[in-house]
Amino acid sequence: MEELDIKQLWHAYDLKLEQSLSINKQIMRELQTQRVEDNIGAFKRNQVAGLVIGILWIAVLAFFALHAQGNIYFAGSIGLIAIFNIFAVAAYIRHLALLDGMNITDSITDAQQKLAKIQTSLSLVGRIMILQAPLWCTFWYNQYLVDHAGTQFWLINLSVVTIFVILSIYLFQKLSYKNIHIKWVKAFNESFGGKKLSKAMEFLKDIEEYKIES
Amino acid sequence: MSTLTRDELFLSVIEQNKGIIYKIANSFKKDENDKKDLMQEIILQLWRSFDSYDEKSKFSTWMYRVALNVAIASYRKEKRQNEIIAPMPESVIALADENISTEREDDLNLLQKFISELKELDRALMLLYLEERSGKEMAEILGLSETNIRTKINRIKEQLKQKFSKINT
Repeated sequence: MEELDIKQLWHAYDLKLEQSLSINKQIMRELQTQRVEDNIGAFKRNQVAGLVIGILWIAVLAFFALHAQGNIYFAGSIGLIAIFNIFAVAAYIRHLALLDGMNITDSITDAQQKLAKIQTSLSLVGRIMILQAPLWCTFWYNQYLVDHAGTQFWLINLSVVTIFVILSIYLFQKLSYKNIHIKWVKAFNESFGGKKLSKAMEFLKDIEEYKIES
Repeated sequence: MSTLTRDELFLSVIEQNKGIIYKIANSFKKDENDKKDLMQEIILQLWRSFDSYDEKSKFSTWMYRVALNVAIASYRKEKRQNEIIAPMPESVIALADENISTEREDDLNLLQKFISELKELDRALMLLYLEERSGKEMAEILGLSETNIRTKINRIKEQLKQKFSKINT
């Protein structure tokens, strides 16, 4: 079928629709007066709640880090965990700002990109949280342990910490939406944030590719 | 602008563009209830952003942006979003004759099937192309360059041509 044929076909369909479609004015009036639950507003409230919980958690971590009673291993580990949590909260704040800038009248690629970024914000926070995993293996160290534990103990412990460091950095890099085409990355994200998250990640990648002139 | 005038103006805008809203809903949803919900949500979002239309761009550009943004966002939702807006028993835009048919019904069905199989952004682009929007307006609605739009349309048209030729052979 040629281009002209397609357009004529669509035009004929258009004409038929124009003759046949009618507006239900009663429903229109109801829509114009209906008090609706603001979808974005509800999402924003959840994000603000997450933000408050995040700040409280950082305060708890900071309290423990500052009252470590001279245990630098504990203070260092918990302090670094608190820093990772600050980054996670910063990611939350960034997405709240993005949500504020969300406008349904923006161009389609811009609006959908913002929307998909907001929907994938959970993933970024999750990835930052993964980075703190090795520190949960070190917070219980103390000076006595460092002075008296044997070589075998440190070999095992430092191997575990090294594995966690490598694994957490690898997961942080891999679990990005840019790798959503990889099966296990998709499965991991789905188990973490549901199909909605992996769909939003796929869509975000699609939009970025769509914007590139080919 | 008085409330009454604003209400009436909006109604006349929807009246003039009901076909577009119907076609967008038809292209993005298969289930009749989902189509009904989508049309309702598009009109609601148009109503809520009606005041933000600033006349810098064409009215149709603004309308396509809102309608397609709502349709694309709703396409990724898995379930009906009744919790967002109270469902209406009837459709806000309805076909007076359910058995509407064109002389080339098979071709039209094929074209609609082809559109529904496209990815969301290509689907929006194809609809704009069929609605005979200019390259400049399509670029403005989608937020892409005109060159990019042309390239993408040519690619979609080629796919469509191949699909029709496969069926005709």
